[in-house]
Amino acid sequence: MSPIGLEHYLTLAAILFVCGAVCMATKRNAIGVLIGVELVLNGANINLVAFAHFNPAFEIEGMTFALFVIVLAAAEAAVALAIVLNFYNNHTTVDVDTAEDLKG
Amino acid sequence: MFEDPRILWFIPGLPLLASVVTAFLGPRLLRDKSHWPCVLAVIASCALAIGVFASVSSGFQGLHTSYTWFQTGDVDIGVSLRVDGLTAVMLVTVTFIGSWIAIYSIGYMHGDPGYPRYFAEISLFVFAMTGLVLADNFVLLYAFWEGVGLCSYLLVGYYFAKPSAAAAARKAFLVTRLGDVGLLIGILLIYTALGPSLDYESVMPRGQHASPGVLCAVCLLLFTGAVGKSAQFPLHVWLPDAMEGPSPVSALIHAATMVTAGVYLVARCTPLFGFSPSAQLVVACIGGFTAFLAALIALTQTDLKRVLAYSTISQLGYMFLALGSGTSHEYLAGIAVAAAIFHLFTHAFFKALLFLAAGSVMHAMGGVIDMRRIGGLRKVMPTTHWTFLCGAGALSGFPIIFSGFWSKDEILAVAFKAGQPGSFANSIYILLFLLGLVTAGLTAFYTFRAYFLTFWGPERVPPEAGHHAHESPPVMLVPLMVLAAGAVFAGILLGPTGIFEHFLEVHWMQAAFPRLLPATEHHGNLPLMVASSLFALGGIGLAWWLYVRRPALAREMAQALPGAYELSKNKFYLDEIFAALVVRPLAGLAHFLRVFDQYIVDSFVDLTAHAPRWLGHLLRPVQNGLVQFYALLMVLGLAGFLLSVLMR
Amino acid sequence: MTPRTLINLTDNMSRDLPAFLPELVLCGAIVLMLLFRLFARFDQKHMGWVALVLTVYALIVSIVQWQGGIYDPRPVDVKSLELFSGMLVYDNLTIFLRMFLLAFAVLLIWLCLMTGIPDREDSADFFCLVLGATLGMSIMASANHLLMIFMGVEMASLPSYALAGFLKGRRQSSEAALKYVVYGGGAAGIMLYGISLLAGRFGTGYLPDVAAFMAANPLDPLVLLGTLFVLIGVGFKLAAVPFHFWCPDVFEGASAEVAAFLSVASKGAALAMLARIVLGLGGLAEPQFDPQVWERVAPYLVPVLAVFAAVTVTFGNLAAYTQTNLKRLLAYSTIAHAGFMMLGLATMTRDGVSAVLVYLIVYLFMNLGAFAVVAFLRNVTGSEDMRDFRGLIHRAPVLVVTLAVFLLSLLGLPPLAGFAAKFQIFSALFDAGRNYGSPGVGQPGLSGVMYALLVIGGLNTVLSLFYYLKPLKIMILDKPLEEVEDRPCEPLPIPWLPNLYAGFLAFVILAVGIFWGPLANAGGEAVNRFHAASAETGGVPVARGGQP
Repeated sequence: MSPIGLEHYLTLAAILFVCGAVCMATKRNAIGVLIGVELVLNGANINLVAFAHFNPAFEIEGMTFALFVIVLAAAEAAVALAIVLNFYNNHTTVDVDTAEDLKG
Repeated sequence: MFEDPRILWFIPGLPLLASVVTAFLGPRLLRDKSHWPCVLAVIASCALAIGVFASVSSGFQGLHTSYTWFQTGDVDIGVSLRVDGLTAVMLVTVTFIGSWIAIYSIGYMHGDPGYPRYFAEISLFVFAMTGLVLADNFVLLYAFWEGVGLCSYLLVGYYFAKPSAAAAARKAFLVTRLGDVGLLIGILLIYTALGPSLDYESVMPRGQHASPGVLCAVCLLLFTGAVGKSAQFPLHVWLPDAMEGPSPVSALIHAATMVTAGVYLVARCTPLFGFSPSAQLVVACIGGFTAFLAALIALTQTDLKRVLAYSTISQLGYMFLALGSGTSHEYLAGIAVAAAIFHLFTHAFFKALLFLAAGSVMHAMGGVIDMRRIGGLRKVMPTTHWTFLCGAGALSGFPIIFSGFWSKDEILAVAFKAGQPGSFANSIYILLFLLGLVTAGLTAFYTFRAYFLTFWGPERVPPEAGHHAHESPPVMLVPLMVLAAGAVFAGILLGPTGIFEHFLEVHWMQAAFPRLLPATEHHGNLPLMVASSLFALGGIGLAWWLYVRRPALAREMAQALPGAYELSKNKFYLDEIFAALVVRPLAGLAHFLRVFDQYIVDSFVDLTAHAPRWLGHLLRPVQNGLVQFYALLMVLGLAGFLLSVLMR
Repeated sequence: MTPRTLINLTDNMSRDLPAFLPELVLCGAIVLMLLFRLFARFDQKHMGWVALVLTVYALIVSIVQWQGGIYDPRPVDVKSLELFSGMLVYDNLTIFLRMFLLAFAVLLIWLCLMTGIPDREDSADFFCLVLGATLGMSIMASANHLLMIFMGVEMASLPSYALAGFLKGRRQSSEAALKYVVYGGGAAGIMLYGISLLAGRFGTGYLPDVAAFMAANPLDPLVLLGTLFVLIGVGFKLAAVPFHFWCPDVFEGASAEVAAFLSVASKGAALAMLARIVLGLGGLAEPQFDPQVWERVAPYLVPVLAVFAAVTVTFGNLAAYTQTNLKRLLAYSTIAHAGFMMLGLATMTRDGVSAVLVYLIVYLFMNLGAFAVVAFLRNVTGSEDMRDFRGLIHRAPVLVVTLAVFLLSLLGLPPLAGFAAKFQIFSALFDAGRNYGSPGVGQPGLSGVMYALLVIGGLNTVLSLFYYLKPLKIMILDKPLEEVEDRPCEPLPIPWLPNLYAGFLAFVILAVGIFWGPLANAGGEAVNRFHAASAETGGVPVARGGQP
């Protein structure tokens, strides 16, 4: 087995990204969509950390980047969940396909 | 007096502001106080104009201001104003006469349902006219030129519910438009031939170096615009009808604002006309002929305002006769233009006066102005009577006392000089001079015919006047008196002393066209004065004889010469000729084009209007409200971009 | 970012903080409003005034900075300063955009105080969200690092999601917020992924370095993918087609005030960010302009931007045709306007960017005005559908007249300011087309693109004519519903303050339309930070940006 290199991490991140994107596009449950967003964000984060590990010049910057992303992802999840809750209060469902009053 | 040229913005700016304010607040807030913004603004403009005049006469040169709206590449689009001697004179005339007309209107228009609209339009008119004379380039001049046309359309058609008024407004607008087309082409030709610029400062000096043919074409095209706006033959037909508007509007159009624009334009372009004798000859011929023709028509009109309207056309003809007599050969241009502008100045006073006095009569007579139905009003309306007499004396050129005498005399003197042996086309000018002399007699006759018919003879008051056939209120009489004073004294003060010519020469001509100025001083021509006095007195005497002493004789004469009488009464059938030659063929063409437009052009337009709507409908289903579908489209769009970039 | 830069960070703090003062004031305002809620005494007070006063203060600070006053830490000969060890950049463009954002925030808060959205209880939350988003947008506009780009976008987006759903208990509002957050979250995630690829590939997120690397190396797929993903994030904030789908739905569902905020501030910040990226990539941000960099980047970037812009402006105008809800119509109109501004960026010249800045300022007033009138009308009629506004001129004359000014200005009719703005864009396109075709540059293809954009822009102006006139026709020419049904047609009870507000905005539009020299100069100066020489003349640079 070859040593684990940068490309392995990048591949993992890409898989996470694609999974997240598919999840966002197919899940009808709003929570599921949000989980997809989280997957995409974490895919990006793996990229950043991996680049930081393999490139000394990027080390501190990459790590800082990742930290900020974690915080922002948490903030986004909080806001998104609140909005989903609000949607549930009005529609008694979290199915995103029911959100089709506004169109045209 | 004014060192800061930015003051110039206020002269047209204040009336514009008043117009906007009245238009917005008038109907709701101001109502019967709607005259205040207009009157105050025009008076303030007048005060500023007098200040500007004073600073010009003290020799201050820097009255020039400009604002660049935007600049792109080499083209600089903006507004610039400049004052020189000519502009200063025009500004004072326009705003001074305009102020008194506005004040007079307070009384005349009192109680009219469109009171605010009237004053908003009057202010706009003054704005357009002051802007026209202040403009420093042909583009701006043209813009205001059209603005003046628009305002006249609005005001002539003020009583738009009346079909004749609406038709008159349309006629005024369309006929002057004919001339405007010539003006526009002329301006374009100036840009290509004398440009590439349209500033007076850079265009004017190039006139003397241009090829004679081109210069003549430019001048004639510009003159076409003047012919339309100043109601010269053959485009004079709109002016008599234009009295369908309220009387103060007629006064404004005939005296201060509209018709003087053409004279101003030709005077302004003297540096171009002065080097094109053939163009000048055309101007002089049209002017002289119009003066004569209009005087003939005026002889038999029965409507007091119509007589005055034809007298305006005739007097404007005099001005063009003067403008056309300044041939470069004799270095007459300076005197000629000064004479024309001087006549414009005095004419503004007495014609405004006459129209306002006629309006006062009309006001008292319940709207009747037909001289066959009124008469002997000198007892009923004493102030109107003597002010009208002042105006009539000035118009007919009664010697020495009245202003019209002095200015008309100068015009005849110029024409006479242009006819001196050895000069260009002298025989034609002599002919024009004689025509002018005869016209002076006719003018005196028809003016006093109208005067005697209206104010002398047995007292006749039409039933429309009801029981209140009385003198007008002071707010109408004071302007009459002021203008009467102007009509009398302007001539005797400025005529013999030559102040007016001197002012124009020093503050305008020496800078604008030094090469065209006379080497020697100009002196009055005594025999000529005597001759024109005799003609004027003869005309007045004849009128007195026919309409006071022997009223029956006039009718007999009309019956004795039926052909001539009918010809004059029907205005030489010029309206009918116009209809046959221009209006009918155009109507036919218009009809054809309408069919073409309806079935062919319209369907194209409909298509272009419907295509986007149809496309919009096509796009609607895309926005179906499903957020995940949006995400899918976003990804697809992205993939499209990716592919297009990779494929390069 | 090395330990060295961290030390620089603390060393330069005394210089950087004054430059950052307007943002700090916003932060202070947010903290203050949240703090006030702890005290029973202030609990029931409307917090709009606190927000208004502090935003005005921040605006004043920005104006002082623009004029080079006491808060401006730049040495005399330095035009561009990097703050916080290169995270943000402080130059005329930053200050200009800050002034834009803060002026808009002031006007918006004033509007909200009049329309009563939010009510007293919610006021602290609402204005915290507004100011927080403004803060994020300001960071977007001055970002100099990929991290800051992401941070700015997120800081601007998160409060916006909440604002879209602020009308609690209304189905449409909650739906709008959900769509916005799902779409926005996805776009932000993709953008972050692109950023991680770019930053990792180049080993830095510092924008000037990224631009230099990009210009120096041939494009590889990773970079291309990264760039496109970043572009998604920008496109989402900008509502550029095909990333615009959230825009009409969110605008319709949210209140008109929030829609105004999203349409003006959010798009302004996104455009500013895009402008910075364009200037940076084209080498136009360097003190010494290197034509070779420009020539290598432009053939890729210009067509992409051009296609984006052309599609966006055309789509927006076409889709607006069939709308009857005023807010939705305005939503499509804002999409079209974003496209119009992208036309200016597609020139890749400083003139183009300067034209966009002018457009932004004008757009602020006319779009805010239009949405404000919609908000006022909603408050008195309860409707936003223009079919309910028949013959409104008789019932609310001032609002209809001012709305006419706003719509005609959006259409670009002289002498209103919208004409000035469009004219600047067209002029930039024309100049760019002429220059690219000249033998000195030798890019006839790009020149053709510019002329094509010119034609598309012109056609779109004509296209937009019909749908901007439609509401005006309904309001002015149609008979009021009451008259048709023989009911008394009474004036709407609109207080004088809203009339004054709308009148003020309309007046500004008219005034700017007539006197737009100063604004154009300011726009030129905002972009013209790099040339000390031409900055002294104070005018628009004579040499066209981007030209060798």
